Amino acid sequence: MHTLLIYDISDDRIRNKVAETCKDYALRRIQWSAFLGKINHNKREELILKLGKLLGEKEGNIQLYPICSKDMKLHRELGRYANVRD
Amino acid sequence: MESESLVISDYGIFIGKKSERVVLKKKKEVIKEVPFFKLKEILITTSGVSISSDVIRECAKAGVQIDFVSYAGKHLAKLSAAGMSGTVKTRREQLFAYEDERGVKLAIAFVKGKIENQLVLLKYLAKYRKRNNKKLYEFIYNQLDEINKIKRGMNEIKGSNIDDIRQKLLSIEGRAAKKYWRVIKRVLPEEVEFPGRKTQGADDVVNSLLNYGYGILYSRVSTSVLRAGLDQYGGFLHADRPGKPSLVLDLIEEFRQTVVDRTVIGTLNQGMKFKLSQGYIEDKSRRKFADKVLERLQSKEYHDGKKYRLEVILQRQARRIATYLREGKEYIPFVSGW
Repeated sequence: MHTLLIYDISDDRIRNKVAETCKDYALRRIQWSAFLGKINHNKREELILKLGKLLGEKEGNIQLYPICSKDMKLHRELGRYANVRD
Repeated sequence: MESESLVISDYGIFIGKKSERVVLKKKKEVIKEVPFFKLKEILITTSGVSISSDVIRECAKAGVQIDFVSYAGKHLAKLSAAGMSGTVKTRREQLFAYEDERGVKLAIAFVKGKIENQLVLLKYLAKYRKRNNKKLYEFIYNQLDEINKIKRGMNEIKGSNIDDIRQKLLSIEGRAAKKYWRVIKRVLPEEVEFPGRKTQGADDVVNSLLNYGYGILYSRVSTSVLRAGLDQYGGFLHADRPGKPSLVLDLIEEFRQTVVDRTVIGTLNQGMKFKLSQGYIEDKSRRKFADKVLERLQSKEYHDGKKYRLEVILQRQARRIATYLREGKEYIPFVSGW
């Protein structure tokens, strides 16, 4: 299922690790702190467990939203600047 | 979830690992990233590629095989996990089977499968020519009859040891193949030159494509054989020779037509152009063709009354060989539909 993951973490090291882990689960970056991708139930649970461990007791916020394909079809995008994605 | 085959057919690529992903870099720029859990195999078909030991380590853990295939499609080397050869019971039975009737039965099944699939492909080709090329249609059916006649000769083959009957089997296989390639030659577009089937030193487009395609198929079959716990070198139809993976060559027989031949004929008839340089297919064309073959492996066929992807059928057939050797459950060759 499509999954949106967004985070707000101030520690550079942890933030980077979170981003890397998202990529390990085949999510792609859609904004600086937002990742999107198709991922199955098991892998999603695995990912959130891993991210929980990464964050530990540090300050920060990570949110994960599964999005059904029906809703995904309503996705729209507006962009006004040159490529910032990787 | 879809898993991915990584085909590296470009110079100067570095295959590295970052976190839990394979990262492909060219001139220090990242061109592709694939997470290990999505990776099915790595196929390196060009020179000038470097690969990090970390990638090899992770691949071994994840059961991903790394294969090196030459320009001409010759399989050069494979890297696979050390634990893959720990299946003693299957191997022991496999080696014993060479001396008894099981070897005979398997060898006959492989040849039967091959010829059946040749017939299926010819029928498939004839179907589309029934209306607009009556002459060719009749020619194909003529040859079909003759191959059928040759095939019947197989019922008379009896022996208790594969060495006694190998010559007879190979002769049947060879005669059928001759007729088969004769039809293929007529079916290809006129502007495509095809001097007949050549395995080594081919310098025409058709043979080069065939050889390259078989190379890709080979790496898949070899993975399947390994995963089924079998020994790649203990074949039946193909005689023992040091360094010759006879069992892989045996099993590949019943898949050549469905996976590779049909793809080659299809792409050429669609008018796809392939450029040769110094007897090899050019880089870009090679990748295009590799994609076609891999696509074909993803398409579904019936097997045991259910639809499976061809690559899955390959694995199932390899397992069936293993089950037959261990438990004596009959081995039925794969025959595609048309």
